[in-house]
Amino acid sequence: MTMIEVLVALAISVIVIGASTQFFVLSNGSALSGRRQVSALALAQSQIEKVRQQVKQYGFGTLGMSSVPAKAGADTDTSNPTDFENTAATTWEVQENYDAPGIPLLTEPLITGGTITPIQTITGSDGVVAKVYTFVSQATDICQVGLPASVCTAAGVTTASNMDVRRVVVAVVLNAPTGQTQNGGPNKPQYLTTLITNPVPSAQINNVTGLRIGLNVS
Amino acid sequence: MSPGEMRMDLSTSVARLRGRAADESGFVMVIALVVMVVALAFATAALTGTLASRSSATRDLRSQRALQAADAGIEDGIYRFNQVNVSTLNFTGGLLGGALSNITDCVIPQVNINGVITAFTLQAAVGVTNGVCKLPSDSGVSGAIGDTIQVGDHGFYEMQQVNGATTTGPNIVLHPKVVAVGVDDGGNSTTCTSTVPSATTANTSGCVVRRVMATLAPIDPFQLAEAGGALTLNGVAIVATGDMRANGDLKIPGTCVVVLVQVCTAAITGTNALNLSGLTANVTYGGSFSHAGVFVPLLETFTPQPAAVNRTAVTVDDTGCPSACVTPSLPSGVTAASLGGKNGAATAYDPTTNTVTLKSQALTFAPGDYILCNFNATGGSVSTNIASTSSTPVRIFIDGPTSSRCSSNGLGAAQGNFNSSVGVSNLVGGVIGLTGSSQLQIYVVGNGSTGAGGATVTIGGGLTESMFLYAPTSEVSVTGLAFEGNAIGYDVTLNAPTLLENLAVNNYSLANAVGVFHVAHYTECTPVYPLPQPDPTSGC
Repeated sequence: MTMIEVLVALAISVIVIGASTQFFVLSNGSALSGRRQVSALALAQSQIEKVRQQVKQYGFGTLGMSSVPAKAGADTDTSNPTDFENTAATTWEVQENYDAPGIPLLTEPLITGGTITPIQTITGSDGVVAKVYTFVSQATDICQVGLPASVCTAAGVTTASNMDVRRVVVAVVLNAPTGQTQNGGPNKPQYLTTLITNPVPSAQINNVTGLRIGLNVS
Repeated sequence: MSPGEMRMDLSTSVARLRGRAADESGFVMVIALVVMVVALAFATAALTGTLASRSSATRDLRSQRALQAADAGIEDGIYRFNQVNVSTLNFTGGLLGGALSNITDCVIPQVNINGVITAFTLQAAVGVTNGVCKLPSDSGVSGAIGDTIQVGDHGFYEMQQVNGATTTGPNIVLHPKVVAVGVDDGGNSTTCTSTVPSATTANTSGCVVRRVMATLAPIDPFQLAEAGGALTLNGVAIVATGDMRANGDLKIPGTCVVVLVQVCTAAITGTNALNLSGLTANVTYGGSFSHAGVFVPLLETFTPQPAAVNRTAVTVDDTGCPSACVTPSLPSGVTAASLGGKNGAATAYDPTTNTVTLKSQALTFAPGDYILCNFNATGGSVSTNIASTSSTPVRIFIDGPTSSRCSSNGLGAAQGNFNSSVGVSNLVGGVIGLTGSSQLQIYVVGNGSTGAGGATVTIGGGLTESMFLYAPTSEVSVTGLAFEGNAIGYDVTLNAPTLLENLAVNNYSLANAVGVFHVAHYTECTPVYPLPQPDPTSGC
């Protein structure tokens, strides 16, 4: 064993350890990002379930935002969900892909006067802190989006003005991880969206047939 | 080369090889290379695993998007089912109203060829068995909705309604279904089009698919008497005009003849309104059925119930409500003094405890909502003052002892009850049916217990009682010359020879926040897009 061999071996070891370290750093960062993505998803799911529960408990009329946060940036800025509002913060752009926004699929009026807090700071069960945005917009009547007219007219409600279909968009923006130096993604808001309809269609001639027992007396 | 030289050369070569073999120089390099390979393998494995985990997280997100889209489809379907012209649900009328138009037990929605309810025609008014109204026929046609609806955020859904009418013995049970498939197209809407073969499953062609099905149930109409526990009917000859049910035992301890008639309307079908053919009322029970002495059932059926039915306890809670949800203890414009005398005091109503205690004088309820912690009348008289045409009923809510309203009034567990040994007069001139039993609605929250430890609702006296009584966790006992209305309790005892179902449900509901159908069962199906045909429920 010569000095040259030892030196070469040491050099190889350094290279290997360096490369491996990079791999592990990458792996660790990716794992952290994955965990945070799961956390963001859990928060988004939880928020949608809360909204559903609220509708069940307090009625469809409460399904609206208590206020609308101001638009924060440009339409192309995907880091802040409020950017999909218009300047007056009265409408919402429904995007096919919120990460890479293009021409909106639809532009819908935001619904206020409800009890949904639009921005909440929530700490997940795993300690991840996030801002949870909840937007409620008046969806275009589902009858006007391609369903057979015979079905819609048979049901009796076809207008978009009844506000019976509301789109709920939840966006979760995670705070930067504390005490971490590596990539703490996801860096973009995580979105979940669904539609919630009025249990008692407003076009009913008499909509007081509900047999809701256990509801708050109002 | 001579043979000797050749041998020497061979020996030299062997010796050289042996020498090289014996030489250990360079082994460090080999070890280093091995270490490098092993370390890189470990690192690669770790990174691969992490990336797979990351991919799984992304897939979870897409899967959730697909599920939310599918749930949006379910909402869509329910909405369409509930888009019914409820004006056909004419609960008004009544015995003296001249029109036995509709009755709570026999309201059956009709489904058209698209699986959409178009009306509540009462063709079903041919009787009730096991709490399920009959349908005269079943079109058996599934819905035909196949277009996709964009939800946004990579998601869309396809929904289909299914009639869901199935035959159970002589009856047809209507449980419509909504099936919806949600798809996350991964940001490329062209990869998940309707041209994708029906065998496409999750994650094929870059799509993530979730399919769900909701089985719906129509509103469960209130029956004449409902008991979460035991139902006891006392009387020598009992005539009842509606269905009754008990999750527990059914007891008819007296020596009696029992006549129960389901007074479904037949006017819709153009036949005699009092044609009793097929109009047999039903009494179902989950426990045992006992009776004493001579028991002669006439027109009724007594059958075990297929499944227990539990009503939800009413909640009187104004916390967390919208701003408009403030509930005064007394209706606006009603003063405590107007509620009559309390043992010579100014009022029967005690605002410090939010209770009514009556031992003498007259107490009269005007239309409106009264939220109390306890009601106890042992003397005097209790009545309502409602015009027969009033659209506002008297609603009395008895909140629970542990509620924020009642927990600090010092009464502890000695509250939460509605007891009136002098009965509650809710009639106009003593004539039943004029006011309508639903004009007096009594709701009892209960104390959290059922059975012997539950809150009590005891209404006695020699009156004809007419009310809608909803106390599903309470011990309910009503004694009178007759009872008209609905009595919902845990253990229910009716001491009256004549029991009349509520035919005048003028003010049926507490709120308008629930539709005709609600989700009775929700399940996830195998992920298939588009929805399989002809049966979209296959795989659910």
